[in-house]
Amino acid sequence: MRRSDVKVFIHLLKVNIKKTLIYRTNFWISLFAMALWMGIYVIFFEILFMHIDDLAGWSKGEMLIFLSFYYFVQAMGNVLYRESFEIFGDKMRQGGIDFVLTKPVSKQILLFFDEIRFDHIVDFFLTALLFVYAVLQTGIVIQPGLFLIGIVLAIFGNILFYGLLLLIASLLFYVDRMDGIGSFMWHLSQISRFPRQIYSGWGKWLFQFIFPLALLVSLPTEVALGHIDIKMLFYFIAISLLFFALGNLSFSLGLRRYSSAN
Amino acid sequence: MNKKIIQVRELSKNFVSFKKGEGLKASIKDFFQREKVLKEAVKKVSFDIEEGEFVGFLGPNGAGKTTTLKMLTGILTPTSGEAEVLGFTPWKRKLAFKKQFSLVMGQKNQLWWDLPPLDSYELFRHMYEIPYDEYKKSLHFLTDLLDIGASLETQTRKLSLGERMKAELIGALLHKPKVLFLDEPTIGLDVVSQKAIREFLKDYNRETKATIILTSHYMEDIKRLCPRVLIIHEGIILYDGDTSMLNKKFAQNKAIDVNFSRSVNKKDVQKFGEIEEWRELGARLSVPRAEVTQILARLIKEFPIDDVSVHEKSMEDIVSDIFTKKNVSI
Repeated sequence: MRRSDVKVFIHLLKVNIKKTLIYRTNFWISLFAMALWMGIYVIFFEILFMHIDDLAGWSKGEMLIFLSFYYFVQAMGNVLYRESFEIFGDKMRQGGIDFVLTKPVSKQILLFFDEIRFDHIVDFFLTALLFVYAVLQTGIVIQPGLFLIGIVLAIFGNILFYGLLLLIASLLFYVDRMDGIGSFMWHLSQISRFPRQIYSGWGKWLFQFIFPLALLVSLPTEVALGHIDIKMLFYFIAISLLFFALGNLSFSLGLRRYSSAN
Repeated sequence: MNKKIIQVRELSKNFVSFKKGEGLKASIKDFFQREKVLKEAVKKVSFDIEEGEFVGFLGPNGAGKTTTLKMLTGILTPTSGEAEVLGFTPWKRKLAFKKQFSLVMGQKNQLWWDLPPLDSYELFRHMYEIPYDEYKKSLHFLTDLLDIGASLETQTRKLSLGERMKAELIGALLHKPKVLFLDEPTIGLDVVSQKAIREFLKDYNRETKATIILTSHYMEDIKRLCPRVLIIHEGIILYDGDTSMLNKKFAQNKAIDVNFSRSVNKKDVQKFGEIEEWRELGARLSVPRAEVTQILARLIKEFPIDDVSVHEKSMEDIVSDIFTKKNVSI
């Protein structure tokens, strides 16, 4: 990444803060919606664990920690790139990326980080509350060092997911129209909502090794909880970088087919 | 001779689309079996443009002018052919190339809609790595030239169309591009705004010696600004030369405007040439250039003439004739 790319990214951050401040009602609605969703899921797990002792080997306390990591990974995407990916299809069909191609700066920064949603910053705050609730409720002890490694791995999880979204977005260069691609992209992330151990048979191979979405949240949480599988850890980092590279390659190839619009 | 800044050789661009039938039955059939349609938007065009030139690109809708411009700015990759702009192949999209040109499209915005233009300019400053002092100087210079100071602090979406185009131009010129591509910058503007934009572009070209390529539907833009014009129609360049020489090249006919002192028979007048306009006591005739003197003498002899004048065809008429292939030698 070049110096000017960093400066452009920082400027985009500032501009999007301004936009968030202009539409302040939107900010409060986001806060309310996220708190509602999170609350529903916590209640869901509370009720679920009244009937079972563990879910694929995960206790209630571990599941609540898992849930807070899940929301942390989601929050990063929500704030940084989710909206931009969701509108990418329409933007492309309307020739909205013409100018991006003429600017001397990273195309991905301009296309996928231009709609930074600062109203979703509250997601991090709510996630932190959930994490504290999980620790206080269940008495699980988290090592600070392992917790930090878990956070770094959650960032890798986002790199993996971003790469996968880039791969899917590249398909738009080859087809006329893909309605609903925005929501499809986001439904994919639902695979990471549950621990990887619940997937067995072909599902295990598909979601851990081919489209490793089941690892997005599971691996960071396992490490934070002290359950470290070194081989899986290195595999997770390697596959995250591989997906990121594949996403970049397919996007660059796709751009050559861009046909604009009048 | 000035340096060639744009060189285009046999550049072509094809688009593939699908034929869509009429009605529900045809739509269902198309869903399962589609017929491909190949559209040759640009067909082997070649031309050179020298440093500092102000060149007009004229053509009707769908002629291929915007597609050519998009290939020269690297937005589109051509189907075949070659082009060099400032020594770069545009569609390789090198950063060093992108820093030296700018594109303005009359129908598309590159400024943030919800924020004042100044916020977008600040982003462009970072993109093009313009030193702060230089940025301020450029902004001041352009703001003065376009007379749009206060509006730059208003949200872009609240600006009038004319103000928005001025703001777009400032954004495009902050980094002092060597080549400026303008795609219908005056489209939709009122006469006053059109004039202001034209004056600005003329002054800017004179003061900075920037090379400017302008596409437009409006003859007035081309007449006032471009000493050279490229006329493109159905993807082919029909004319590349002096704007002022368009008449000699294309107009085989001249117009004779005649006023009669009393009414005459239309059929009698028709014998002398094609009647373009018929009035109660007058007519406008289109006659072959070589026969003007002879026809004029016969008209004076045979009709009660009050007044007569001979005109070259207007540029609008010539261009319209070129596009309709009427009375022109292409």
